[in-house]
Amino acid sequence: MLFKILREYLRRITRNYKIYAVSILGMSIAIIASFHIYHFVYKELSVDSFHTKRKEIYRVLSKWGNADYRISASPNPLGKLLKEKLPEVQDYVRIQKDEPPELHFKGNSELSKFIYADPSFFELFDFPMIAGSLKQFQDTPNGIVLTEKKAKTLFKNNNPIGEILSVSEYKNPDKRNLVVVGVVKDFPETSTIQAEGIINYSDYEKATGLGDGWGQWSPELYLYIPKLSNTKKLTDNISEELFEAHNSASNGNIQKLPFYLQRLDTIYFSSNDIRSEEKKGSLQFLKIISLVGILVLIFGGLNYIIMNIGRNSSRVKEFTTKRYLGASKGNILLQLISESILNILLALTIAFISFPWLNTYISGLIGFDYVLSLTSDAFMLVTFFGLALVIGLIIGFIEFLISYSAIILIINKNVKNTFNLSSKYIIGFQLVLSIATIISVLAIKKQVDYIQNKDVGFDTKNVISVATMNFIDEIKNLLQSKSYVNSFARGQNLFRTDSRASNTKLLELNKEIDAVVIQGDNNYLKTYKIELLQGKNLNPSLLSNNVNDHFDVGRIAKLRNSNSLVEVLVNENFVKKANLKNPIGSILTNDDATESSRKGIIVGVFKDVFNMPLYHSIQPIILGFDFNGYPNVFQISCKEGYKETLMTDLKKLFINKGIEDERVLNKVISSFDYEYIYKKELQLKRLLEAFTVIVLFISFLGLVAISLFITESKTKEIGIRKVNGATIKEIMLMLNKDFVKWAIIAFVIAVPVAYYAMSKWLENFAYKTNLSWWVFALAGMFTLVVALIAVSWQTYKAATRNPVESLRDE
Amino acid sequence: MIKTEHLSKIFRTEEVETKALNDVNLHVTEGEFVAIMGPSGCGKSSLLNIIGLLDNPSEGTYAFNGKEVGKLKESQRTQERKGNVGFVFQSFNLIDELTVFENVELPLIYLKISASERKRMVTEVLERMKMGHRVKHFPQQLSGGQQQRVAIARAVVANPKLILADEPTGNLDSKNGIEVMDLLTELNREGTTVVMVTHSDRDANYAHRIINLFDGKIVTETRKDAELV
Repeated sequence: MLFKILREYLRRITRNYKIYAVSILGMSIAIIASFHIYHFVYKELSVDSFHTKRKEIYRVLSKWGNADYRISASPNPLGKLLKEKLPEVQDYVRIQKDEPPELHFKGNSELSKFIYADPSFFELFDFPMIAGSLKQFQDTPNGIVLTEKKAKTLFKNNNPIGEILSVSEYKNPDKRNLVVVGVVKDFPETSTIQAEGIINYSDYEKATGLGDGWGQWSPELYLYIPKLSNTKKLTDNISEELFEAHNSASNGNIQKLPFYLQRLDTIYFSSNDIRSEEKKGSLQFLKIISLVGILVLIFGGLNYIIMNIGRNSSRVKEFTTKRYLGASKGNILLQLISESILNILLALTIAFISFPWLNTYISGLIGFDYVLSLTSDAFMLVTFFGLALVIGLIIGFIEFLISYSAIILIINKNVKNTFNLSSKYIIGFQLVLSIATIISVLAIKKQVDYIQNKDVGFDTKNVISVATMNFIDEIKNLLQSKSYVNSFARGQNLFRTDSRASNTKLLELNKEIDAVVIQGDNNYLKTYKIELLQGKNLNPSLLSNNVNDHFDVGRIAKLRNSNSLVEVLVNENFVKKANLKNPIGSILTNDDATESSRKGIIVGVFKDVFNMPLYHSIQPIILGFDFNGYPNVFQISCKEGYKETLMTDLKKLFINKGIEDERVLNKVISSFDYEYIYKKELQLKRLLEAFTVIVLFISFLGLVAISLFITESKTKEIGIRKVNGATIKEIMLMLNKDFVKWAIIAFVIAVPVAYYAMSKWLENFAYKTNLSWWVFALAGMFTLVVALIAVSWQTYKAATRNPVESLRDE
Repeated sequence: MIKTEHLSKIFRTEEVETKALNDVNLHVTEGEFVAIMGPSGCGKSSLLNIIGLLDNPSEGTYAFNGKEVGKLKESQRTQERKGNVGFVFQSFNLIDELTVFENVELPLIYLKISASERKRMVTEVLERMKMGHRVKHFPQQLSGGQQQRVAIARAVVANPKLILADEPTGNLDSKNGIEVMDLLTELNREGTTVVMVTHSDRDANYAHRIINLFDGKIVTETRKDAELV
């Protein structure tokens, strides 16, 4: 039986290859797109899930002042303290990910991808060692465990155990030796912790001089807490223990900080408010892309069903003949399901064959780089294969349900009606989805354009910032010697992706407001081209230009306690929020989490700037130098078109000083980058654009097919009308009228849905474009035009056909 | 009214070339009733289609009402046909989704006649065909004879000079067949030219002239008073 079905199927498919190609092509596109999405979602959801203790390990986070972000660094001795004091904490591991040493090997130097970790790293996490032993790692303070791949690159096939590696900190040319004590399996791509080697944490402490001081916040701290009953109580305890330990050990005074525990398996998706450079996932994007995947699949499936039903209605004769010859209901069901599964298998094959070519493109599109491996992703492949078969089964069954009553039992009359009715719903759904996605793409594009064209109030194009490292004077000399430099200032970056506002007291007025402190000197406003509205600029003669002042703790303490005032500028928003009638001369002080700043006096007010992504509204800003720390960064404004030259010249300077690694240089020298700041939005835009193309293409195929079947079913009517004097134009009008009607109904449904979704999305932004009427009109018109082109292709053929052919008496 | 000279029609598919009509010379004057007879596939319908301006001849000329129409484009043929030619088919060819009234109204819509005028004309012709009580019915609710009467009503509603009937009684029982033939004769008597394709000798006897086609050629022509031409 199955063999016969297969043989019949092959004959049918080779004979009607055009219509089969169209329907299978649509399905293949849907399966290809959903497979790539499934792959992505599967990998994203399995990030860090390979750790057996993933629900028992927690990362320690804290928040400083009124910051709107959390930090993952913690004081160096905190882990040890918590293990001693809190019975729930059974173990801990400190990891330093952000300061990889430079590796010197066989005459080459490179910035390594090594991390530092306590030996408990290998007990808590599932990174299995395949050579050497944990014992050796524990016993060797300068030991390193390399990943399999790195060991192979360095030592080829020789045994790496016992080999010596020479490393240095990039700020410090002194080299030191590490001993290879083990080899670990490569870290899976689904791990948030990535490294090519793990160095014993003792080595980090030794190299940086980090000890038991409480003021040094550096490593990430992971706690092993097998039984966590009350998170709130534990984080309060952590806060309390730190407060006590810190204050009894030093004269310094810190506020109690809020602490948070982040379970290992939730780190990937719940770290967007954490300042760190690790891989982060976005649950929102995952939801959107999953929805896209499901919709594409439903879309392709429905399209495929409608094509098949259309085709089945022309197979009436085959089915009725089979019924007369004794085929049972089951036989027909089996035939339809087998055919549908065979079609799906064909589509799957196309998906797999095209995978390598498409993967690069799609990875770029949605910004991930997961590799598909036949061995380690076997489970994923099998589940997708199973899913596809289930879809095939469902489609076959739906086809049977729709066509059986219509085609096989009542034969003639109702076929057309059932087909017309179900095809109308499906076409309607497709049009709704097309219009809604086009509206979304247009709305997102409009907002992205708005963001890029909005006057943010400062120069974003020709300003770059450079960290001074230890070369303040050298950089200064370089900048002064270049004629393309307009001006430069010592000061922090103006643009920031998150804010750390802190409590500011206006002393004489007895008022308090939250303000962001930005350090900058008298050239700061000029460099950023920010307008001073009131008062005067900072007086340069009052600013300390001595580099070493920065490190003079005694001087700062003295200044803090003295009554001398630091000049500061504030923005308009500060004046407004603090409700200052006469801001000039107001005296203020600003409290940070760990230290109180000096007293400041407002000497000027500058114009508001949008110095944060447009999700945030403008905040009060205090600009001052020597008010609350010193900036180690230069902001440089250059003449139009010289940005690249400036960056190259600075890079040369650093390279001459021995800082060669491109990754370090890119961190040191930076400029305003829309693509980076709004990468979420751009990613969403790209995803939806691709989705729109797919949706439109599949709808186009569907419309072509449906109009083909409908015009076929109306052949006789068209003939009669033509015989009675209808012109081609009149026939086209009659046939296309229906499609236009559906498009209008679809439009009416799509508009509120898209409007709601896009309004919700726009709520992310404090400053946003409005959803103009033309966005909706354009989406509707575009879909209508595409639909009409698809439909007219068939209707024109039908309308120009000689009526004689269709009216020939049977 | 109809004058063809050396008319030929050739159908080509990828493999076969069929000569449906071969050098047909036919002359029909206004007010005539002509029957075309012949076995299946002899070219009757092809001839009728060309006469009815539904199709172009492959060779030869065709003058309709004194105007050469053999080489007209589809859209021009439509213009010539409108209001001048009415068709009656064996299988009635009514549109299932339209009511009796709407079916009959169709040619008038394409002639851009106003709605009130259409209503008057359709009602009048349906009364005449004794179908006035069935205006709101759909074709499948009618008997075969009733459907053919609606089809004839549709063919004559625009007062065409020529009615082309393709086996008008083929799907009817004899009683209904006779009724339809009586109707056509009546229309002919009032001045409408009728050209009819038929298999039935009985029907052919209603005509003034019978033309026999065989393999695309006219083989005999018989006047009703049995004299051979």
